[in-house]
Amino acid sequence: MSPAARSVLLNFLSETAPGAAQAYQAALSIAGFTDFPGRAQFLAHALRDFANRLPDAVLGEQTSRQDAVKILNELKKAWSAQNAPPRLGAVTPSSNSFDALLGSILTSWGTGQGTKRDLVERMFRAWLPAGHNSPELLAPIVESWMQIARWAQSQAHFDGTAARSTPWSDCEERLSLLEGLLSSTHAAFFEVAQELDAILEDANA
Amino acid sequence: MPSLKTPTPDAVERATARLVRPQQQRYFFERLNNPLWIGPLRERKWFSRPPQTVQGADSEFHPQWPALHYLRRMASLPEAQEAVLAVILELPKDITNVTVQESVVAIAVALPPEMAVQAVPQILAWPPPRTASLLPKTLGELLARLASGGQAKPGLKIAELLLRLAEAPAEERAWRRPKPRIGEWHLRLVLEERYPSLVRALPAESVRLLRTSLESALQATSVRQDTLEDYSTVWRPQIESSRHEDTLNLLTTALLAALRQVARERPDRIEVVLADLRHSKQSIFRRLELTLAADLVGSHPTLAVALLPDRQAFDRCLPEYATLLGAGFGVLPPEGQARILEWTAGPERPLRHPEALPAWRRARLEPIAGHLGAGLAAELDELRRNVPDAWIGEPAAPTVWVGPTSPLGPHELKSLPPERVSEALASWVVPAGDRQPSPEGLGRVLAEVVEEATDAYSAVALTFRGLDPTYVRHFLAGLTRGVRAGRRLEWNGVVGLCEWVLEQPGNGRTVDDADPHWGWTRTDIARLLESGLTRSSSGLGASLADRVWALLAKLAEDPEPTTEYEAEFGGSNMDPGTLSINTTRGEALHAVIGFALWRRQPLREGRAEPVTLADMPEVRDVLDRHLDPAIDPSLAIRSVYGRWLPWLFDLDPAWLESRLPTIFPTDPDAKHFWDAAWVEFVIRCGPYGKLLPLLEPSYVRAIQEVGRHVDEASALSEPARHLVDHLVVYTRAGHGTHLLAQVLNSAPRPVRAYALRFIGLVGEDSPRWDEDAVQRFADIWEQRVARAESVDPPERSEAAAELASFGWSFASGQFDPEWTLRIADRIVALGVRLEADHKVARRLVVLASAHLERCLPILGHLIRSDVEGWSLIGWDSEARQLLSAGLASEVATVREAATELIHELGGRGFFDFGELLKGGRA
Repeated sequence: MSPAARSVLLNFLSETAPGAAQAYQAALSIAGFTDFPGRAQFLAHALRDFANRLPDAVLGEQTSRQDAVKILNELKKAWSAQNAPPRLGAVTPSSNSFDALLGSILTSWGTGQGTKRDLVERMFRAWLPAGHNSPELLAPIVESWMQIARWAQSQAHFDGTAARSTPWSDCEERLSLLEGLLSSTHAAFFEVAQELDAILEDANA
Repeated sequence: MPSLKTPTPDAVERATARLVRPQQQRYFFERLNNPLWIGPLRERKWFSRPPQTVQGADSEFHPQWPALHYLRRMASLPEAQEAVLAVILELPKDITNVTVQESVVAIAVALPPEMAVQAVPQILAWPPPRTASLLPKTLGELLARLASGGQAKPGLKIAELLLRLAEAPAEERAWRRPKPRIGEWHLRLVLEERYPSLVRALPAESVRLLRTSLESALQATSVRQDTLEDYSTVWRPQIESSRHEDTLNLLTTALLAALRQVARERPDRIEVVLADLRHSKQSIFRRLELTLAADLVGSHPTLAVALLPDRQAFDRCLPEYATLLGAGFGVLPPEGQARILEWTAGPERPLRHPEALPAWRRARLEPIAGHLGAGLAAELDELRRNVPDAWIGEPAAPTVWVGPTSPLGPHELKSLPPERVSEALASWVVPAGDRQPSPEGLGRVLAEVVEEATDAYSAVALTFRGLDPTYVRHFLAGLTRGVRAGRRLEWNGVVGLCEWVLEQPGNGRTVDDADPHWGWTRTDIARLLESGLTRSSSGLGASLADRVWALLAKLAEDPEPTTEYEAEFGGSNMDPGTLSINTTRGEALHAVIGFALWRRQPLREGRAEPVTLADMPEVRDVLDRHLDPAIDPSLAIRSVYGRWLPWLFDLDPAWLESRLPTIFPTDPDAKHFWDAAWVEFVIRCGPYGKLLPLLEPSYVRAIQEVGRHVDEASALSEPARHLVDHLVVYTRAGHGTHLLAQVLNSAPRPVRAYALRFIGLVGEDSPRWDEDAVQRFADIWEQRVARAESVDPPERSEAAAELASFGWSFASGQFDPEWTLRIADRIVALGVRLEADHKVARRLVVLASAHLERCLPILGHLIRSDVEGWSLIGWDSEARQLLSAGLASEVATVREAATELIHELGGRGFFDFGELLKGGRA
């Protein structure tokens, strides 16, 4: 994306989601640096933050974060109340209250996953003109966003099991795709059309 | 075809990133021509989620699916068809969006039948559409494609789907009208254009489907399921054709066409098909069989031999039987012929009207005229001399009664000299029997002929004395129509005929349409006189004044309308004004006022002082007498005074002023009299400035009650609209501005909006207003806008809604451009979309030469506030002119505004506007 287009996008984000605009600016700064060890992970980290935070920032909502520690404490409390043996796995708990708690936690976890996708969809719908935004037409767009977010999540940290090196071109490509998805929502129509014409020219050749 | 490139994942990702907005998707998929993209797009889930139907409060929206349109184009490419089919088969089963359904079916049509057939189970599983669409038409194409492509059985399934009947509402009616799910227009299209392919492929099954569908439709017509009476001679008098395209007739036409197609293309199957047809017992199926048998006498004479010797059918002698009798009598064995000849003597059960036997016999002998022996041939000749051709056209067949018929047509009547017409009418003997020509039918023809030759007929008017009232009434009606068309009469004889009529006592007859008491004829006399008196072209001369008045004086005292008559036919059935022109006394009162106006002319001659009702005391007495509710309580009569108010004022202002309290009584108990006169005045008469001071109390009263005339749908009643029309016109002329202000301050919103709209409409239709008029209306607009601006936001949109009407004033060109644009800016700032957008756009083009930078924002608002998205189609050219001018502007901000709007239009799907950015100009 050209510097001018990036500037337009940054302005757009600053107006609609100032918090997430900072993460985008961070990503651009990292991308602008000369190479340094771990640069790709830093950029992936910034992209992950950006991709995860933007929907909340745009919609002004917070997803209910799944606090693993809190969940475990709840489970432990329920487990103790059963007078269960000390080792997990030795006995299958059958108490209704334990089952109910476990069930609600798992449901909540599933809903949380669904909510992320919904949030992304709602974010895009919020940017589209009223009456022209069938959610189903956004399915490939949301999918694309989620894929980038998942990729950024997977690349953001070393997992300590194996050395990895993320190709810088992959990072740049993801950044560019995110930028494309975002700028398509508000960019001048015939400017996007011009880019589509270039893709079409190649596709139909 | 040149080899196309398989897209890289990167290319698909890049494209996806630029396809967020539906119009971007449309732009891309309308232009993508490479079938190798189907697979990668499918992997990227571009075909996984069809847009669902959007349920509105009182409507449904079926969004387009741009990606599917690409697939639809690719489906015709052989190399893409496997991939296209794979996508289609993966689609969800519960699609309700009819645009998606239609595209899927269109794709199936484009695929080879052996592939398309795989999509049929999916199509059959869709829930029935609730919205009109092109789907039935495309399903018809699929039906034909499958049937002619070796996949007839699945095609039959599609046909079953298309022929299904809609669920009929449970109405307790003797006759219900069945409807197909796909609507009758589409049913006709499918049956005429697509079904023959199925008949060709599956003759027996396709005819059976039509037969069972028609049988189901017949059963759906009746709450009684046990009857075989189908009334087909009523809804299908002629089997060969029908003027009606309802379900029963469409299925009948299709079934007959299918039977004939089988007979033509697969004669070996015709016996099987007819055997199946006999499973349905209703009359229509027998009539179809008789028709086909007549067609096939040459190739399948056994059909005629089996069907003709049927005494019941012979006696009934439906047209189809008569046709078969004519075609097939010759192939009958001698004993069969002899039996039928015996039957021609008369029906098995005696006729209700024995005098109709000659016609009965002639109708049955005519078809076999060539096979008769000398005796019967002579009898037939005799019958031909005594029974007119017209009487045997539809022998014995009960048909729909479409109105009175005449034994003579207009040409025959015209061929007689006018002076002999009354003689001919008097000598015609009305035939016995149902549905025979009648005096009413003949009278209607007479009126038609008289209307065109009023001078000749009025000259012989006296020859019509002594005739049946039906003929006299139609004679007078014909003269009236002629007078209204500007023709002259010889009035002397006409008045003489009228005098004779008024001497006639009522005869009390109530047969058919005959005038039972000369009352209808008296109404026609009043109508003729009113027409003649109010049209100088009629030739009614002053020498007849006394005789004419004598007629009117009698007619004005006619008892009709009586109180009972008004109670029965007035009220919600007929308003008083309409009632007045359909009753003798009402029509006479119209004529009385017409008489006064007519008399004034000759009385004026040689006089300096004006002619008033004092010069016509007989008229004044009648007018006064009928204003007395104790003498004449009729609302119809009161409406006559309202109808002629400006003329009465013109005739005698003092008399009118003194009678206004009676015509428009303020007493609440007499409100019905006020209503009757007011409604007729405000609707029928234009605003009349001289009357305004006298009528102001009534205008105020009408304004106070205007809310009563706004119905639930917010549509204004006629009186409310005309009241507003009057007030706007008065305001333009400088009178009654306060009355219009009163409407705008107190009337319900639809009335206010209409008043504001009418200002623009008047402006559009009138020459340049004077400055004062412009200022008066400008003040009104300023006040209305300021009022809306002063309201806090939650209620502001309600207050501002009426301002949409400003579009009409904007477009009228009556106001100062600067002022117009300033008010438009303020209204647009309130979020109100201007009405009459096409006129506004046209006006913007005019204003743009001097105010382009002010015009573009208003254009932008028209574009952005177009929720439906299609109004631009009406002013596309104006938008191009404005945007081209904007792009060519030397002012950077104007160029930027134009560019932004062009992008906005692109985002709304108006891709052609992109050409402007490339340097093209509209």
